[in-house]
Amino acid sequence: MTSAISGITAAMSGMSGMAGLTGIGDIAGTAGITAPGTTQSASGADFASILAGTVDQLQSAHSTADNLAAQAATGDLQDVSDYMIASQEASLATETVVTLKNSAVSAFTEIMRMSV
Amino acid sequence: MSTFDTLRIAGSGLYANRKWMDAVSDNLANLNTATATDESAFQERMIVVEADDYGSGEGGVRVAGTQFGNAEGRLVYEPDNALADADGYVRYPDIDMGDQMTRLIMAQRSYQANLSSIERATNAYQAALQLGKG
Amino acid sequence: MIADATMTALHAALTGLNQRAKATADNIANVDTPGFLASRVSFESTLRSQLVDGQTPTVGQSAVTQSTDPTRLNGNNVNLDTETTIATETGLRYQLAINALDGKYSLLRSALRTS
Repeated sequence: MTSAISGITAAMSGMSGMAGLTGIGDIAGTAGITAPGTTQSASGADFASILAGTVDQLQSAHSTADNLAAQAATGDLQDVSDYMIASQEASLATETVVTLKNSAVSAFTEIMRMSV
Repeated sequence: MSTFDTLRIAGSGLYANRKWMDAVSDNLANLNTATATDESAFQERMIVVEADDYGSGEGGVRVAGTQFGNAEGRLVYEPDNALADADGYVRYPDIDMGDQMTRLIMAQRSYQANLSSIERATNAYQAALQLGKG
Repeated sequence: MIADATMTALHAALTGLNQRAKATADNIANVDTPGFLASRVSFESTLRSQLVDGQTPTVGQSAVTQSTDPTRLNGNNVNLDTETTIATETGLRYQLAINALDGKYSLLRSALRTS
């Protein structure tokens, strides 16, 4: 399980190192780039740091869900809804990160395909 | 404490009410048990229940013991009874059938109420387990 | 190979709960058998100590013991209310463990998706 997540993290850090990403916010109408454009205007932060923040929270959401699942296995879980909510949060966080990664990758390939 | 604690608590209620029904059935079965006058009569069985971990809101109920009723009973004149003494008296238990039937109905309804607790708790837990699906 | 400690713990819990369900059905079937002592399945304490120590839990380790509840006149000590409650609770815990394992697998899958 950790191998898949660390693979995404490695991809993220690899992308944030690329100089081309910082210029994405300036390009408005290119298909598939609307997501980065809105996040930059909303918070003013760098797109790569937003992704990195979501990835950090992802790890803690996963470990919370893992601990509660272990408690459910041994029967020590106090409240069923605790585990169900933590599991849904982890799942939604994973899907958010994966969707962002996929959008970023497709945006990058789109840019690379542009003839100068 | 377990994950599905409500089931354990309602289960303790089931057990206590069943013991109560057992005691009342015992009394009803022995309603006409005659004993000789030099022995004690059949005593009414009553169970003593106690709240477990009172005040915590999640303890349940516990059967703490049994109490026995009046040992004197009532003397009835039956000279041709095999157990009759020299004056022709035997002892019958001091148990009233109407009273016992009322208690039996109360115990049965309490048992059913605890069963419905279990059923509703099971439905609630199953709904919780569907969280996030669909 | 993919399973981590949590997934193995859930697998061990499923095996233990299945055994408990069988033991409870056995007890209920034998409610009138003279001399029959109720069986109890225990796997939680082994699992808990393995998780606390950080070991990967082993699947299939549950202890089956006879209950020491007081017996009735015919030597049988099966309490129908207790067994019914245990059966309901085991069913719910089984569903919870299946949900948990399902959640872990779908997390892995969603991480692998590329579109």
